[in-house]
Parts: sequence; C-alpha cells; structure tokens
Amino acid sequence: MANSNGWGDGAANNAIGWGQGANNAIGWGDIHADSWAGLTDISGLPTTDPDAQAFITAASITDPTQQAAINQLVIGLKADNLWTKTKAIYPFVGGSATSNSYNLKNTAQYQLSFSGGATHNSNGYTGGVNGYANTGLNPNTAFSTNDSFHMSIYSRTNSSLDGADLGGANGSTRTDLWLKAADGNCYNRVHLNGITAANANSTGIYISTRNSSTSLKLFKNNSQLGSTYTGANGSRLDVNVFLGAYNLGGTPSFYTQRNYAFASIGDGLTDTDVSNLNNRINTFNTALSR
Amino acid sequence: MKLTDLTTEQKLTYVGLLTEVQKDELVGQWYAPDSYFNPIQDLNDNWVISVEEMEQCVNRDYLWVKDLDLIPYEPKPTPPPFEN
Repeated sequence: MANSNGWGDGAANNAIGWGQGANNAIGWGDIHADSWAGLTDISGLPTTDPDAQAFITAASITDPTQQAAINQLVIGLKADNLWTKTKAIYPFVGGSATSNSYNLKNTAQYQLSFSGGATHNSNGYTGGVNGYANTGLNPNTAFSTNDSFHMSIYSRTNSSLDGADLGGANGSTRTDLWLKAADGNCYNRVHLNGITAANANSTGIYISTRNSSTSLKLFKNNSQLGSTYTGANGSRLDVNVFLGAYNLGGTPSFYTQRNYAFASIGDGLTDTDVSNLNNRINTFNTALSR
Repeated sequence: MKLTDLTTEQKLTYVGLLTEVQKDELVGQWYAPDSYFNPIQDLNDNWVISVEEMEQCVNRDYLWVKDLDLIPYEPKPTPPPFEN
C-alpha cells in the first residue's frame, strides 16, 4: 500500500518507509532496488575516503591498523578544513622507501625522492649521515603569494646538531626549520628572516605558519615557541624543499639524522588550524603506536 | 675495516671510502627501490657513502660498494646560516 509515512510491511511507494516493499523514497526496506537512501545503501560502513584509498593503493598499505589510521587522518583533515590548505602530506607509513615516499594529498604530485643513507620502518623515516628527502615542492612555483605558507614536521629524535629538518635557501631567500641546532636554539624562517627560540628538546610536533607579510609563528606541541616574527617578508624560496637536510641552492647539506613520522607543507594556518593539525598528527601517530 | 666487521654502534659513525672515479659512478644511481646514492665529502675531502647505502644496496651494478673500506666519519664543519 502507498503509505506516506509508513512502518508497515506494505509493498510499495512508501514516501518514508520501513516497509519491505520497493520504491521507498527513504526506506529501510529489505527490497531496496528503488529506495533512495535505504539502510542497505550505507551498510558498507565504515567506508574508506577516496583520497585515503588512493594513497593506500599507491603505497601498497595492507596493514588494517595503518589503513584505518590513514582513513581517519584524511577524514579528520577534511572535517577541520585543513585538507584544502595542504599541498603535501607525508605520513611516513608502510615501512619502506616506496610507501614513505607518497604524498597523501595527491599521490601523483610531490613524491619524495630519498638519497643517501636511510632507515625506513614502522617509526617512519630516519636519515643517515648523508640522508635526505627531496619533496619536489618549489614554493616559488607551488604558491601564488608570499604571505601564506605553513610547514609541519613530527620529530621523534632528540638531538642537538646543525641540521635542517625542512627547507632550503637561494640567495637571501630562506625557508627553513632547524628544530634544535648545536647552540640549543630552534630556527625558523619563511622567505627571509624569522624566529629564534631556545628549545630544550628536538622531539615533538612543530608547525610553522605565515599568515601575512608581518606574521610568522612557530608552534611546538600546540604551544607557541618563541615570539611572533613581524619583520619584513621576502620572496618565495625558489628551490625544492628538502626534508632531513638543507637545500643550499640545489646542494644538500646540514643533514639531521633524525627520525620523522609526519610532515606537511601548505597554505598559512590560523591558530585554530594549528591546534587542529597538531591534534590530527597526534591522533594519527598514536594510532600507529609511535 | 669492512662492512662485516662493524658493530651496531660503529654503523652510526663509520662510512665507506670512495675513489673519485667510484664517486662519479654512483652519483644519480639507485641502491634500493626509491633510494639513491649520495656521496659526500668528509673533513679531509674524502668521498664517502653511508653504511646504510652499502648494506641496503641491491643494485647488481653496484654491489661492489659492500666491499668498500670503512673509515670513521668526520663531518666537514660548515657554519650554519643562522643570522636573522
């Protein structure tokens, strides 16, 4: 019968029906060929986000825990409106150079190229005395403005050395993050000059963000590190960003030998964005027990 | 000293010694999937590669790196660009 709001077991044409018949507009019926949004349409839950699935396929991730962590990360970044603000996301999952090389945001773009000594395992990527990764991302071509940029990295190593965790330089233009140099300071520049702050320990989640020509902030584990840099901005870096070393005008130098379990590069972030990204990185790596 | 003589601790501080010709052979070549050789110069301008590159090399054209002599790694001191 044609119930407009039917719970009956009638045959067909329930507008909102729990019946067994066909043609329910919103139906929980067990004959659902023509149901518009029946329970059976979502019976496949939990579903995998298409972008997460693309990464899982490209990186050949077969471990269910890793697959779930990747899926939750993508869903979370999208829910927080962070997905569209990123150009490269490196989750370092899968335990091999190939799996660690893929960019979660777009597996066909900015794939890491590893050079020198390296260890790839369940804890992510660790460079040797001459190890680094080339992101292939040149900020001058990847971005259209000087005033919006972020980079994040999760370091699992505490060490003090003159090694650059992310970045490079060409001429006076410098975009870099040195988590803990030999002098005990953390250094962060985006396009020109920037932040110097004492840092007791190089482990943690670091997020550097430039939101305007006069605002560069650095956060460690969700707390601001040092003061906001309000000095003049410069032009965009015109060499690829390196990870685990410094791209000094095209030549790798200042290797860190640190263990990394996450990194991202993208547009500038608000303080709320930084907090959300920090929490997503933390949740992701907690799920992977690292 | 050779690769098989290294202790776990020494793997972090030793490197494989290359000739100039060997260095030129390795530049741009892969040693394992998605991983490339990166010869660097040490304090004494020796060309060297890491123990990881030697151990993990599966490229049949360059398996000779596993037989390189090992020397303690002495990094070339370079002042970092920290002035703000």
